[in-house]
Amino acid sequence: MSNPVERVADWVDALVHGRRPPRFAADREEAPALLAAAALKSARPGEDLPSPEFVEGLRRRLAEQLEPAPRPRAGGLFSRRRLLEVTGFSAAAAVAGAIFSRAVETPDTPLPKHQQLEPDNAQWVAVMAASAVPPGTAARFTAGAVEGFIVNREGAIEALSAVCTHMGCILKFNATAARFDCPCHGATFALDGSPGRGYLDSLPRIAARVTAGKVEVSVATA
Amino acid sequence: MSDVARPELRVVSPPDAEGMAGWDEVYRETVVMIYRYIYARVGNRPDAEDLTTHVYMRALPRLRVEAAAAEVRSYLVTTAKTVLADHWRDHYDVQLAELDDTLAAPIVEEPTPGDEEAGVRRAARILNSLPDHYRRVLELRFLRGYSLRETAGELGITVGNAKVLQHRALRRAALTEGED
Repeated sequence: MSNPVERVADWVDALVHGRRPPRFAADREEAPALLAAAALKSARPGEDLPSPEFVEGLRRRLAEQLEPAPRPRAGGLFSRRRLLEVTGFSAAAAVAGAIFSRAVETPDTPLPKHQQLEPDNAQWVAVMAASAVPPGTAARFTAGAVEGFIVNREGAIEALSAVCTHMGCILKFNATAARFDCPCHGATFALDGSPGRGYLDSLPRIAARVTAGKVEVSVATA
Repeated sequence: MSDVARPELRVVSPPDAEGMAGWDEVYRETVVMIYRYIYARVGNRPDAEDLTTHVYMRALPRLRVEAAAAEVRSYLVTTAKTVLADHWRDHYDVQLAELDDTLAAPIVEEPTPGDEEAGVRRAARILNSLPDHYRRVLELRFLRGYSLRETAGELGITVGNAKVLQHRALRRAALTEGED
């Protein structure tokens, strides 16, 4: 069993009988013979088709791996710099995005409901009248470096970042569907900021309150 | 025939798609191509299934569903090549990069989208390029699935000689393939 002819013969036997072939350090004479044998195994039409059981089984494994939502990138609260990173990211960046731009982190904890954007040097800024946002709707605002939406959910006023967590494009409010749509790649977010696609982060929440009929948000001062 | 436009692989999820829809589609539309590409380079189902699994486990979480179809395919094929190179290096001490003048050319060859029969054609091309006595022994083994003993009986030679003939035929096949 030590000469090349025997080793290759055993290897080919395994292939012919559909078994996993033995492993061994192949020399420069054997290696091409093994590769030729592997190529010839496809000679019988249909031989190289995957079984439906395998295809479905792998699909299920991938679904299990990909379905849990990823964790938000940073833990805890956002610093001012982080706030600017998140909100200042322009739509132009999306255009330049590379194909593997977004490695999903290993999900081992459930997604917190929202990251809260709390700038270091915050102050309350009035952005619109509370009456401008009827229940079930949202309205865009810009305050300093922050692009956001004021959302009225069943009478509760909240503020969310308007920056898509996929590639940083500015979202549009879709009144018909009562959700936020990303013009760049079609991502969607519900009015509570949760993503339509499970692998995206939720929209960060911005502290908001209503004072004397005005909606105020907590944003960094210039 | 070749100028008939093939439907482009569609990987962009519809805007309303939820969760896995995008990944699912990428997977379903590429898995047969990737599996066959790998199978033709390992020659057996258990290894082909393991390596195909590695390719998707490694590649899918890094792929943007919105990437163009050609980019997705290209990334999956690149991942498959890496996985194959690791397999041959780890289990057989074979550096595919050093085999460029022999069988490595087809290893690094791109699968043609929609051309599902590339592996079958390649095997037929290898067989047809061989002298009769070499082609015969390999046809009996790989096309008919004969055992070495049955092959020896069919050819009227000893089992030992059948092994040697098979070995020489495979080495010749490798050289022939490398010349393409």
